[in-house]
Formats: sequence, C-alpha cells, structure tokens
Amino acid sequence: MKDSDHRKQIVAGIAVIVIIAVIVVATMSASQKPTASTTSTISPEATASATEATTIPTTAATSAATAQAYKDGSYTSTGSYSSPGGTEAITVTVTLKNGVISETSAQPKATDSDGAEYQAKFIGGYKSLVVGKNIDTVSLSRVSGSSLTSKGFNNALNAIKTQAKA
Amino acid sequence: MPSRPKPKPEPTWQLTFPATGTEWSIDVYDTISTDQQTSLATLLRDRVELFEQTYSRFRQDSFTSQLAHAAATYELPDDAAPLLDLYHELYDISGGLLTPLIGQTLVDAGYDAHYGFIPKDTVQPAPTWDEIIKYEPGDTHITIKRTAQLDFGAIGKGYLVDILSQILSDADITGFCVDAGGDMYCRHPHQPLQIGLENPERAHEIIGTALLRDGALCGSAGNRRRWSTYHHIINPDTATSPEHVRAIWVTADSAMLADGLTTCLFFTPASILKKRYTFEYIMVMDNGSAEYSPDFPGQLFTKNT
Repeated sequence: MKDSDHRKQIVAGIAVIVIIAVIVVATMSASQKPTASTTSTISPEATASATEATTIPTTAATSAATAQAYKDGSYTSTGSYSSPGGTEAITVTVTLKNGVISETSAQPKATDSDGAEYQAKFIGGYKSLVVGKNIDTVSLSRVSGSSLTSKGFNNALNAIKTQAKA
Repeated sequence: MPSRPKPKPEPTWQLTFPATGTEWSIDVYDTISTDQQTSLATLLRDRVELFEQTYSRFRQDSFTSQLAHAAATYELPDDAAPLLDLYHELYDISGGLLTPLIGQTLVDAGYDAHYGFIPKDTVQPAPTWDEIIKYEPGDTHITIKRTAQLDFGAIGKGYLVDILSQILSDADITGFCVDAGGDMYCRHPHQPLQIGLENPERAHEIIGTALLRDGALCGSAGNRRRWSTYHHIINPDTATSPEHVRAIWVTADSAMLADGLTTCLFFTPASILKKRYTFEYIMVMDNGSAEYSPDFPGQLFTKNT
C-alpha cells in the first residue's frame, strides 16, 4: 500500500474514533438527565496533514445537561492491548468545556505496520444492512467479537470517563 | 409506569489472565469465600498452564511440537481424545477444510512462533489427514506418518473453555462465565447473561446480542489477527484466507463445538452442519447482509431495505 493511502486510511480511522468518542462522552453527559436529547454535529473533514496526531474540532452535543458531572479540562488516555504483533495502543484525547466536548483527538499508536493498518481498517466502518448500536446503550455482561482492538479502545475510553469524573 | 428491565447480574469474583494468545476473564456470580477464590484461581491457572504446555505449537517442548519433530507413534495425553475426535469429525464433514494439519500453512503464511507475519514466497497447502495421521476415535495412541506441524487453534481454545467450566461446575459454582477473548461458556440459570456481538467494522458498537443461560458462544471475524493478505482462518487447499464473511457467531452446548463450527462455517454451508449438530449461528457477510438461524438465542440489529 502507498504511504499516502495508508495515511488517509489512518486519518479516516481517527475521524471515526473521534466521532465515537464524542458520542460516548456525550451519552455520558446526557445520561445525567434522562430527557436530554443529544445531537452531535460533526464534520470529520480530516486533512491528511499529520500522521502523528490529528485534532478535529467538533461542535459537540447541544447538551441540555448542564449538570457538571465532568470537570472541564483535557483528558488523555491510552488503552493498550496485546496483539500477535506485540502490544498495541490507542490514545484518545477529549477536551471538556462547560460539560460538553469542545475538542477531541485520537491517535492510533500501533507499533508495527500491520497493527496500524489493522486499526485503521477496524475503525474505518462502512454501510451495511446490519446495524450497530453503541455498546453503552445496552446492558451487557460480556462482548464477543474482535476483542483485540475493542479492548484497547474500551480501556482508553473507560479511563477517560474515570478521569473526567474525578 | 413501564416496568424497568432487570438489572444485569454482577459477578462477585473475577479472575483474568492472558493465555492462548488472548485475554481470559472468568466471572463467578456465586458468593464464595476468599479461601475458595484462592484455591479456584490456582486450580484454573494450573489447568491452563498444563493445556498450553501440551497443545501450544508455539512451545518447543509441547506435545504438538513433539509430533512435528519425529514421525512415530505417541501415547495420547489424557485429555486429547475429545479434541482429536471432534477434529476428526469436523475434518470429514468440512471435506478436510477444518484441519489440525493447517499448522505448516500458518507458519508459511507468517503466523509463526515469533509472530513474524511475513509470508514465505510459496505458502504450501496443507497435507491430508491420511497422509500424516493415523488415529481413529477410541485409539489411545496417535501415529504420525511423516512429520508435520499440527495446530489445534480452531477448537483448542473452546475445549479449554469447556475444561475450565467443568472445574467450576465440579466446585458447585452455579453461576459463572468463562470468557476466552470472546469465546465463552456461561451458566446463569435464573437470568440469562446478555452478551454483545461486537460490530466487526466499528469498535464500541454491537450488531446484536446473545442470551446465554447455560451454553457456549464463540465468535470469529476476518478482521481479527490480519496480516498481509491473510487472517487467522486459512483455506488448507488454496492457502488463502476467505474474504466473503465478516463475522460469525455460533451458540452450542459446548464451547469446543461452537468454536469448531465457527471455523467450519467459513467453508461449509450451515445446512450441512445442521444435519449433524445442534447449534445456532449468525453470519455477517461481506456485503453487510446477515444470514442466521431463526432460533438464535438473542437479537440481531438490522435495518430494512
């Protein structure tokens, strides 16, 4: 694969991670007030300017939830997981202002090239007849699937939730 | 006021450890003493170590490695019969496509002990059962006619899930879930455990759920352990990885069977497997459509088109 393609793929992947992160954290905020509806307007027009880290400003949740459940600030977390290629990691950064997300970034930190491609592919997403639901909206005892990446990803997000509640 | 859904059961004790190339998590729902926790942890960990020491092709001194080094007749380990018998059956029913003889093909493709993941120039198709192995159900020995790298990955993990579940059952634990990175056996008689089926294309989403009261769920997705043009499932005849399926889940009475059928479904129509085995399944095809058995215990999220 050409480097530029690879880069685009990664950046597209990052955009998806960010969107998911926004939705997850927005859901967290909204859950403080059951009637609040959260709609996110997100323009993931990722410019392929950096491979290291991409920051995508988002207009986050029009959150009616003014409850300050989460402190303002920038939260960064890296979730790691073991793959056959070694330990891989995903870093997610979320900036909260007045309880809503003002900025997010994510960085797949795959240490080997297969891992990088794998993560980019994994989070790429495309339309299908099967429909996905956010994992946080369903009460689950366990999850079955491509657990390698999801684990790293979930670890990162869970750590952010914990930081933000502190 | 609408009735609230029952809260999900919370485990009272959890044991996690890395093994068989994934993360294991054992949840216990019964209230047990710390002494029992300690003794169970030792029992379970020791059993896992023995299993890996016997069957891992990545360990130089394992039984599997012995078979690869010398053509001879070997006495089988005590726990080998159920594993070999099911391999034998699934080999036949899949026309040889689910095979323990995939080992060298995996190594050639780069899935080696060093996790090199660099395919050789030529990736050899796997030899046939009769070329290499002399074993019939009931035999206490196995004869290797010429050396070959065996791999028990297709069923082995599920078998170990069953073995650990039996240890918990023998210790009178009534509610538990043994989860080997998404392949699991769960028992929770009063209220089934709800397991998320992860969206193979998008982390943090599920495309459905499975409900387990007393049974196994195994899953496999082509995006898992992917390198070069391969993923962890390789067709032994063509030495290529099937790309028509995104993800498969199977529920059955044992994790070993569910694990094996998950791999079989990459190659063999469900209608053929259904004639012989009792199981339910969901297959998410590459175009995003889903094929599933109507009695699958759970739910699949789909949209109408």
